[in-house]
Parts: sequence; C-alpha cells; structure tokens
Amino acid sequence: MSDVNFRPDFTTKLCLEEPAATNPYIAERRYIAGYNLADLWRGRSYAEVLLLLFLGELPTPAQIRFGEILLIGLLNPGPRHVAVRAAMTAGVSKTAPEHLLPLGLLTGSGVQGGAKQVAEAHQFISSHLAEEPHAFAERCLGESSTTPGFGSEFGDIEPIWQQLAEDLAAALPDSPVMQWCSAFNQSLNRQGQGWLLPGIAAAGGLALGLGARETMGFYQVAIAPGVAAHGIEQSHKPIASNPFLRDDQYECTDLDV
Amino acid sequence: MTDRDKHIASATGDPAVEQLDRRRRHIRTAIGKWFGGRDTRVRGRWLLGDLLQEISVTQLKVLNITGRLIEPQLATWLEKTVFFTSYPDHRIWCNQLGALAGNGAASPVAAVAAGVLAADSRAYGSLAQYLTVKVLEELYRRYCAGESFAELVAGFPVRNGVPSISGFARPVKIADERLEPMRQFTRELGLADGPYLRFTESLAEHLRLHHQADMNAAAYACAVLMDQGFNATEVYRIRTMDVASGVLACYGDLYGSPAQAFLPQRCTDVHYDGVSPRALPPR
Repeated sequence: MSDVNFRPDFTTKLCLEEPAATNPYIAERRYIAGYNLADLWRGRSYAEVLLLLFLGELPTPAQIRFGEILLIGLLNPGPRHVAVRAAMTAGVSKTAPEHLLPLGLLTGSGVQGGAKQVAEAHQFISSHLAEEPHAFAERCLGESSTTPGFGSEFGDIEPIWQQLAEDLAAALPDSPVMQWCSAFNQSLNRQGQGWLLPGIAAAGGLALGLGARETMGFYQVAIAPGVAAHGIEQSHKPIASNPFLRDDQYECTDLDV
Repeated sequence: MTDRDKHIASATGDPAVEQLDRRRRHIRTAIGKWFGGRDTRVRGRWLLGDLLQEISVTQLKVLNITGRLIEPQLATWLEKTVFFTSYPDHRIWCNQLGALAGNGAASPVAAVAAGVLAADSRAYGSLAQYLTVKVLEELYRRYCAGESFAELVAGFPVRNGVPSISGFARPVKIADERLEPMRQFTRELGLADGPYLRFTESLAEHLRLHHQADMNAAAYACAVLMDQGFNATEVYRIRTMDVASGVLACYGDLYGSPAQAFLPQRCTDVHYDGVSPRALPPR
C-alpha cells in the first residue's frame, strides 16, 4: 500500500481530548463539539448530548423534544423485531452475553427492514422532497415501485408506527421533511401501506439534518436498549425456554425420511 | 392442500394471515436437516454416510453455500487463494481489530467477527470481491456487445492517476506480487482457461498499455470463479471468512499483553479539527 499517501493520525471534528500535563496519554478534559463533557453531564439531558454528538451543535428545544420522542419510540422495537429476536435467540442459547447487543444489531443490519433500509429510506425521501407528495405516492402505487421506509409488513400497517410518526410530525410542525412524509404516508394509507420503522428513523434523521449514514448509526443507537435488554433477559433463562422446532415442524424437501 | 393447510385455512378468513400462518412454527427447506441419532442431510446427501469420507471441508463449505459439489481441484484452488487474503500483518485494517480485541482480552470469536465485518469493505475483502464480480459481469456484457476496451474504461472516474475500476485500480509501477503465483497454480490446476479470465487479462493489458494501471489478484481470482459458474452473490458468500486466520494471528500476538500495548495513542495522536472549546450557554 506504499502507493497511497496515508496520514499518520486519525482526524475528527467530534471530540477533543486535552492531555494531562504529567502524562500525554491521559485526558485531562474531553470536549464534545467544543463543549466540556463535564459541563454537559452536569447540565444537559442524554438526548440533548446525543443530538449534539451527531449534529455538531446543541439542538433547539423543539429538536430535543423531537429527538426524545424518536429515541423513546425506537427504544424497544419489540421482541419480534429482527435485531431483538436475534439477541433473544442467542441469549437463551447461552451465547456469551457481551455479544448479544452487537449480534442483534448485526442481524438487524439488512436492507429489508434493517439498518441499511434506514439509509435507503433516507436517500429515497431526500431525493423526492421536491415532488408533490400525494401525486408522487399515487405514481409509486400505480407503478408498484419500491418506496424504501414505507409499505406494509405482514400484509398491513402497524398502528404504533403511524402514531409515532404523527407525534414526531407534531413536535416539528415546520419541518418540510415531516410534512412531505406525512402527506406521502397519507396517500399510501389508502392502499393499505404506510410508515415502516426504518422510514420513521430515516425521516427523523433527515428532519434533524443528519446524513444517511449518520441516520443509520443514530437508528442503531436508538434501538440498542431493546436489543440488549431483551437478549440479556433471555440469558438468565434455561435453554429449553426457547422454542426448538420438532422434527415434524421441519420439512426437508430433498428426501422423505 | 395438505391437512396442515386445511387446518390453517379453516382457522381464519384472512388470506394474508393464512399465508403467514403456513410458515408459523414451520420450516420447509431443501438445504438440509439434522436427524438426531442418525445423520444429517446436506443438499440431498448424507453428511456422515456419504460426504465425510468423500469431500474436503472446502467442498463442504461450497456445497452448503451454493448447493454445488465442486471438484477437488477447484477446492484446492479456493484454499490456495486464501493464502493471498489472510496475512499475519497488524497493519491491515481487519487485523488491527484482531490485535485490539486480543489486547483487550476479548473472545477470539469476537475478534474474528469484528475482523470479518471490517473486511466487508468496498476497499478490500469480501465486499470488494462482490463488487469486482459485478463490474466484470457488466464490462464483459458490454464487451460482447461490441464496445472497445477504451470505451469500457472511459466511464470510470480517475483516482490517484488510474481509472477507479474495482479490481483494476492498481498503479502499474507497483506490481501485485500475488498475481504470478496465482496464475501459476491456476494453470497447474487446469482452471486458467475461460472467457471471463481471458477478458480480464485483456482488460488488464489495455490498462497497462494506456493507463499505467493493472489488475490485482482479486480481479484474477474473481474471473476464475466466474468461469467456474459462480455469480457475485456466491463469491461474496464464499469469501466471507477469508481474512479470519490473519485476524486471529494478530489477536493471539496481543492476547495477554499489558493493557494498551498495541499502538498506544497519545491524546494528540488523534488530530482535532473541530470547533474550539467553548462555554456551554445557559438554557
């Protein structure tokens, strides 16, 4: 790799560590986007500092409320969510518990309902914001084109996500992103389609001003509590407390045995 | 309609729910099944009764991944190519994660998982090979449709002075030391003849002559696998674990070392180019 001009050090805008006078490896102070971390933990909420980390600036009161709703809404996507279910399956099978959160997030990283779909939905929404949402929705339905972040699951739309999206839109009523998405969703609803979880996360990130990758990371942070808590809960249970399908529930089609 | 399907159909009037219910607590598959106390089916064969005595672990891996039972020569070729993707060198990114995991006394499985994930990268590793196959498929299709090499290359951006084509972005002055040994054992195993490999070698020749660029070993290996009938998705899956042994070498090298033994960083070794320290405003 000697053909590439590598820099000697990492570079970041997110965090400054001031070394102690006595030891250059020890941090005397740590700053997040210029603010002393000690000042932040003394005077600001977790949601506020999390948003600061991703936005680079302190959020407005409306952004804080919006962020809190989003973080609580995504906090536990439920035991049937792919990431949570993976952590639960591993937890009950006695997987080393420190792996439960990362393996859950990995399993839930895909483009079909996972973290990659959040990034896809972000791109989808941001690239169509200039279009009239109702007409665009009608066109999508007419052409059966993909609408990342919107659609149906189990053949239906989940009321919880519709409610979360409504509350988010109310928290940032002037957001063009939330206005566009709400209108787009409204038109989709007539055909039994609507907000999906990755779409809400994507719209939330976009409304806050985050990029697609940042929104994907924010989403993973947001769902992490539910993944970790459910996985660790199961790790305390006996292995037989999890379903393991009987032979008659498992059909191998290559042979009648 | 089976008895099970009749039972489901009678339970609810919603066709969507009925369709889901057919898969609820029920798996139907052709990949295989464990028959406890007897044997295991793998893609239509018995694991202990048939395969254990007959095939190598690489043949079994490809069988599980693709459903194809490959010839021993191709399995040997696949094993040899892993020699080129898993070095015990701490500087390689996935290996750094192995070293950090070892230094932190994480589990070896965590180290490999982290390293394999790191190598799921557009720049190197399994994802890069997936992208290389996709590029080769597209370029070969256009070549067969009559486009010249110059036309094929023209659409790619130039980075570091060479066209940025996945698998072909290596400056010609820095030869890939893996290529000649790979060409040699590929010939010896009788796998060096196929349309994708001929096309890839010709494209590399064009790049050497006109763009001071060359292919790397990954492009060559991808072309061989394409000639053997594997698509991009299959190559991605086959290559998933290729960096594991290098990661584990670095993991083991640091495991048991004093804390912060691996490339310790001073605070100032991470260059900060953000906003200067500022006072937190009142709410």
